[in-house]
Amino acid sequence: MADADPLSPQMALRFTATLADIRAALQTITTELRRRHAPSALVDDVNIVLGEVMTNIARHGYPYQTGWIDCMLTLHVDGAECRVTDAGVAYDPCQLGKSPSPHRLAEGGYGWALIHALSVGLRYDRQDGQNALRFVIPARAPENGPASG
Amino acid sequence: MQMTLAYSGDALVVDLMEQRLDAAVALGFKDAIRDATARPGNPVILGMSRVDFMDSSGLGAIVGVMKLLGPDRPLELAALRPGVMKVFRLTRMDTVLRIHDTMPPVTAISAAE
Repeated sequence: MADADPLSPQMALRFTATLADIRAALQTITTELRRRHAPSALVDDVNIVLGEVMTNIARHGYPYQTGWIDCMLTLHVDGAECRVTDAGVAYDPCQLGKSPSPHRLAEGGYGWALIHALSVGLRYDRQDGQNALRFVIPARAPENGPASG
Repeated sequence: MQMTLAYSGDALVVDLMEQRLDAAVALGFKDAIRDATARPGNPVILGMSRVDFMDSSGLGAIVGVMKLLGPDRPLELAALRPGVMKVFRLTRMDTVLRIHDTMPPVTAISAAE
């Protein structure tokens, strides 16, 4: 963790884009969110969305050599604001997002559908050879239904 | 990849001892289940009470196991945590798999890796 203040709402991690390091990063983020008393549904959603984004980068972003991933997360009362940066190949998150029909029994293709279902304000920028994906994971995700009060 | 095997009546119960079923372990999971289900038992019930995170690769591996077992030997799931259940619900895979709220009572437990 880059933060000196253990309870700062902001956490920043940099790690290599491997599946093992992504798992370790998500476990660190989970521990830090729990220490900050984030709602458990939000911790679940952060794991799902960040996991899918980062796994995509590890699998498709660096085809020739392993690179890095930067993850910045800011915890707010109404959700988690995230920015994931990498220097891999460009991607377009807006073209993807429809989940395959369950009856097709597809073994893949669910990742972007989960990202879109659990995040809002998704914004992608490509600048100076780097990808930056920004989004907010609401404490009460849209799929969980309207807030009750 | 750790799991325990047991029977509940005719059903083979595979209780997963992992906390995360993600891209890092999806292939190992599929191999381990293929080995575990070499023994008889129908249906196959996968206990997931210890799994607090599953990503789309984990989901894909479960679908792969379903297809591996074939239509005459259904895969059923038991004791899903909320974050895991959410992935099944959002992808509507909960409509093609039977999901039990709790683990069934089991007999004859043997440890397996």
